[in-house]
Amino acid sequence: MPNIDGKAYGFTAITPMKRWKTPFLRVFFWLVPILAKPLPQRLFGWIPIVRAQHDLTALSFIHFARWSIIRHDFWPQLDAAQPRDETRYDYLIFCSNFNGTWEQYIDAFSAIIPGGMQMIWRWSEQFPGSQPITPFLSYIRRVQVDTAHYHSAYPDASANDVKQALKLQARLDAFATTSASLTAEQFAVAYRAMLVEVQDCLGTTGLDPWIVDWQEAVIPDGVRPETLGPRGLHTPVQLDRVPVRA
Amino acid sequence: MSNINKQSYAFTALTPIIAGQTDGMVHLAALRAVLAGFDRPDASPFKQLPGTHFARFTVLEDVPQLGLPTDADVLQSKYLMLEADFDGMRDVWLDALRTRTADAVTAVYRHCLGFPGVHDAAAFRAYFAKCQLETTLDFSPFDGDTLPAVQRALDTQRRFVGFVHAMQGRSAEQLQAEFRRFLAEHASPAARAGARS
Repeated sequence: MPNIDGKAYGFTAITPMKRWKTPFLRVFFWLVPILAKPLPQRLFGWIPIVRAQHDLTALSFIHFARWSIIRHDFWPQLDAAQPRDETRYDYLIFCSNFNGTWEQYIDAFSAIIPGGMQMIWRWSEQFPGSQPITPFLSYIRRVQVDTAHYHSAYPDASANDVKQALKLQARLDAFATTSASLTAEQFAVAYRAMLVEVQDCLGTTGLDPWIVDWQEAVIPDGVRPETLGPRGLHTPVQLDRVPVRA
Repeated sequence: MSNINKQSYAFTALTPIIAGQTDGMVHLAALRAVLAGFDRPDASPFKQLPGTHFARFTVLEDVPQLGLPTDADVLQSKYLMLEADFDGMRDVWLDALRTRTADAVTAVYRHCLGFPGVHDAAAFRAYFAKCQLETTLDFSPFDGDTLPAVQRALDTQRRFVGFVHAMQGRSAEQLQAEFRRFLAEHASPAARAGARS
């Protein structure tokens, strides 16, 4: 299944746009990073399209995503014998790396940032709007291009796993410094307080069971469950027994 | 430039695939066979490239056809699309692609027009620069964390969960001693230095 590597899904969609619309989309894309900054969000967050920039970061299952525009005259010609491609339309390419199923992904886009999706794809031909979801899904199915080979450097971790692991690492690094001069008793109290702070970062990573089962069948030497560590979430700390303060 | 977002670079290149045949097989089919081979365990060339978070090959045989009232657009050539999200700058990554995955890159791009081979660094860079598609908008939820930092954090998390399990019920002295041992292996170098001072 080339679109998938572990928990990651590589999604590619290509949509045609009339050439005269491309400059408007470029202006919008230019504005996105500016509007996503804290000050514009505070001043203009009441405007739906500005709010949408903030909401994009709330889609916590996205690793990386990008939009590119193929101009009608971009198609590389590298040999005189190669016929030159010049398309009637410009094309918008959307590439994303996320975890979860394809339908969940588009569903979440439609539910959380319908305004943002509307602004991005409204310039594309025959775009039905990001809500209701059924025609939106149908449209995306028509413009999706399958990946021939897909690679993730951390296939056993979701985007949230990565964020939590980075948070845990930072907290542990800070704790290493602050706890260096404590007595054993003081250390134990501080350690337990730290555990309470990072309790949401103590999940375990690993492939979803259905992915392991699929890869075992197709690739006998591919994935071994015993190499993946414990599956599912642990609750390593019994929180009701942990005193937050001394 | 939107190709660069914090520490990461979003690279896309569209290279035309040769239209004819090679060894009795059309280039497109031969290319697809090579790409399918990369799905075997540990066969992906991208694993050899430092700092590569995500990468993919996509074969573009044509642009999607939506039907009327949209006009039909038919590509004269088929294209191989290479996309990658990696740490650092493009030319460093391209150099790694050329030197560390020479066989795989040659196996793929010998089916593409104008590929200069892997022996001339400047020509290799120029080839991909000519075929590069600028990224218009890039999104990354991470705050400038490199791949080694991400992988180290995931490893620390995996081990720390086990550590927390094992330490339940231990005395304060044991806990402190074991935590220092854990830290010596898994904290960042700066944090270790801070803990010693």
